[in-house]
Amino acid sequence: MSQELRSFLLQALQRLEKADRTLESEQGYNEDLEILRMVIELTREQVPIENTRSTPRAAR
Amino acid sequence: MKILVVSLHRLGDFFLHQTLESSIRAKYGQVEIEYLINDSVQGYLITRGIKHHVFPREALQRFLVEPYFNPVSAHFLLHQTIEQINHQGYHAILNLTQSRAAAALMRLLRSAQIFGPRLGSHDWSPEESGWIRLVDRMALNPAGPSPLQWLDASARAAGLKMPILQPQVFTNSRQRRHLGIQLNASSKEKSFRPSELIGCLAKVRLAHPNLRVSLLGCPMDQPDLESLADTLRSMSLAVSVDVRSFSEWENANEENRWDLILTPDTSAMHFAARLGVPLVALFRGSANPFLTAPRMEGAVLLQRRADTAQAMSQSECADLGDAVIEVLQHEARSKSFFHSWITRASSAGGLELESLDQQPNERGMQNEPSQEVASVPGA
Repeated sequence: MSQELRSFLLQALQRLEKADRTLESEQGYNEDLEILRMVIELTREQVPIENTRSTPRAAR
Repeated sequence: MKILVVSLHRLGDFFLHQTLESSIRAKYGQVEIEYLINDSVQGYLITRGIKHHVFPREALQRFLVEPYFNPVSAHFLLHQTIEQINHQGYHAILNLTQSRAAAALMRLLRSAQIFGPRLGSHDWSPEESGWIRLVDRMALNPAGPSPLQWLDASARAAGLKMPILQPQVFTNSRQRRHLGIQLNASSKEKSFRPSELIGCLAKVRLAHPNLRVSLLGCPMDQPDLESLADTLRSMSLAVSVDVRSFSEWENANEENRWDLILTPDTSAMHFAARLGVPLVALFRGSANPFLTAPRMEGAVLLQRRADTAQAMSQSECADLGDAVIEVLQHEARSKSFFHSWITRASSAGGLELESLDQQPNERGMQNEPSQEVASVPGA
């Protein structure tokens, strides 16, 4: 993974976590917060050592 | 009755997951089975007319790396998918995906009984170093379940059993046996290098001069495969190029089927296992036979003894050629340059890898498993 891509991912993660804190303080625990937390999990999975498991080749 | 199978990995994993269908039908009888898959693999499901929902993973990934990424857009995309699934009224949802994101998704799905192993609790550390370590622990922790164990555990949670596929015995009357060679995998480090193929094929040709050999690939591989085939022909190693979609593989008549496929760890390996084609699979780079072995009995799995990313030496290529020759003769022996295993169904019904390393004598592939069966490591 390139450093640039990595830095974008980290920025995205920071924004997501900020949104997570804001939503939790404003609305409490609800479905929207769960969805946001799933996006956070997906973002964390982009780290190459975990293997994103998405395919870089076209499926035939 | 409607069941949703959550299969959010790659195409090879989907092929593995699909083998569970027979077990689901045996338990539930008339049942509609639908899949939740990543957008990157939906091409195959569309071609085969398999009912599915698409999880917008690649679309999300594109959002995530945008410099002005907005969490609201990601939220909207996922909310739509979740609502779509919740409105289907599934009786059961079976999660075969080993990821925390899939576990989070399970928490959001309602109106169905949800089956699958639970992932351990985890924190939500916002700091970079914290979350990378967290991911590291999960991915590399040897005590964690391997994908194979995860599949077995997922099936057990739903009262099902993951089947072990049996290799097909080719009894047709054709004169020439047919070897298929899949070159490319999802990454370069896992794929065969052309020079390696030359060394391996030269050895195989000496033992089987009439063998029919095809280079396999998807349409995007065709120019490279044609160029390699020309090189091989110039060296008197006759090969043909066989570019087929997986759907076309499934529909191939007997004359165009293979007696053996040589492949790296890729979706073609799992697909060949599903068709029951005998396999020699090479695991290199990040590929690990204990994590992603084909779920078929009698597949020969090789991993280089030399821990290097360099192309294989001539001796290694010849050793690989020997492995192919042996399987064509229904044998499997230890190798000088590769750790080697053969897949077996365990007495408990799971998949086991039996090491061939300490067995220098010739071994018939139809023999009963010995006492030296090595379990798949992990929890």
